[in-house]
Amino acid sequence: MHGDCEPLNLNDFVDGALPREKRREIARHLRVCAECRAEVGWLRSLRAEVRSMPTALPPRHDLWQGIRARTAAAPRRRAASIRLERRVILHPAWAWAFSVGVCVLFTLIAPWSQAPMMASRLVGCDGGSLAGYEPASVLGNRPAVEVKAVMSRHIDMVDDAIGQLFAALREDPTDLRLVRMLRQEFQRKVSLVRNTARLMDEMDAAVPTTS
Amino acid sequence: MHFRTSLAAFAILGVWGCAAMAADTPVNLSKPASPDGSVKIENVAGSIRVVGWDMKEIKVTGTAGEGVEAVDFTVSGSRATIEVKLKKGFKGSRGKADLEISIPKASAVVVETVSADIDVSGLERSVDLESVSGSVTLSGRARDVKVETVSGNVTLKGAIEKVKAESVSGTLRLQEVAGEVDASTVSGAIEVLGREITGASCESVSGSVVFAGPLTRGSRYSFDSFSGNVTLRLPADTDADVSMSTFSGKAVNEIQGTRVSGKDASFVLGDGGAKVTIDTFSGNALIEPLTQ
Repeated sequence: MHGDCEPLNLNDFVDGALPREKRREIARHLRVCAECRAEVGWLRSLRAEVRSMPTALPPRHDLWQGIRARTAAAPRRRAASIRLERRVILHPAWAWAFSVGVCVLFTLIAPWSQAPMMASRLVGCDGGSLAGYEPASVLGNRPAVEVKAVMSRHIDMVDDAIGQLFAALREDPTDLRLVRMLRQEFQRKVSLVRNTARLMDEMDAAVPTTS
Repeated sequence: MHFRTSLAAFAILGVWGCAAMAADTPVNLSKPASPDGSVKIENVAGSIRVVGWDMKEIKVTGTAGEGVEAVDFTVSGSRATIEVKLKKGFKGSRGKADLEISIPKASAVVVETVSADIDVSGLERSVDLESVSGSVTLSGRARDVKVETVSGNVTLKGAIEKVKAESVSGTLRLQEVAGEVDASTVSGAIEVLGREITGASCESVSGSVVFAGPLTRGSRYSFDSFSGNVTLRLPADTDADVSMSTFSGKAVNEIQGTRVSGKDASFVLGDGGAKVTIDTFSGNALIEPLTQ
């Protein structure tokens, strides 16, 4: 791209945000300017790449129906649990007997759990990156949610930088340094989006389907 | 009265139960290994400490939480893998394993974790460390180091020949490093304190970049930040060709007392030699004397 080309218009052109006359003018320019054609090609491939990324991760189960069923059943359960507390759980004899029983049981089982991991337990484990990782049950799905939030926040940060660079370029469209920075930030955004998708995939892939 | 007595009984049960659950399973495994093979380690949560040693053996010690199904340790030819496998369907945060793994110091090692912290020392070959939120610490004389995190902080210390460190929001601290440095973050700060750095590329979007140390003649050093400040602390006898550029920040050279704002500035320090470029959009760029 050379000095008399207008980089801003190329983005708007690719976004389809230009009036017809301006669009035609740029189309004519593209026929004679190989650099701008390449730039338009790159911007289009970038758009296609970003659009191909998943925009949402649907919940595995019908969450809302589950919540509704639980909230509907809550009053009945509450009444039943109060009766149970009064009659059984809060009775000291039952409580003491239960506690002592559980303690004795754990005491008997404890030595077994203290045994070092034996070679026989290790045979037959198949490999694979983080194959046994189940974020939903291990950490209540928090890592995936947190990672997604962090990445999303930082993609917004890069978007903000891109916005500021566009604004600066409107002031001085010939500043090649700004064009270079803009390209850098676009590449960083693509890299972040890709990494987010990869991390989500790695975390989700290990969760066995329940259907 | 009944309520209080029952409550006391359950409290005792709760305390006892927690103590019983907290009892982790000891891990003690070892196998012969190639002195210069590759070792891959995977652990989701907890911690991984890798230590290089002179023996032709890999030893895994530590503890595994209740949620750990097994520590899968296999050696096939010159390749070894150690993978912490978790049980299915358990809840809570008991799926962590805290392992110390001793491996031959000339091994090439790859460690992958989600939230587990990684600590590596005493290795002399390539080291590839990846964590999502765990912190990463490496010390020693590793030849080729690659570190990647999302939010985990990274601390590298030692005569590393080549470093590539990336993080999204974690801080990258490279202390006393030598060789080539390639560091990038989005919001995390970058701090490089070097002795014989033969080239550097540090870039961030909003994180600050600080580089302190002598430059090598003929080497290239580039520092880019969008809104973070870039600070270079250089010895008074530095020989470098410097190009500072900022769009709306301030560029200050305190060694020569040059101040530019919103423009490019190029100047020579000493006799010139090392190529230094600093580019920011709104962040400030500062070159100041290195004080010991």
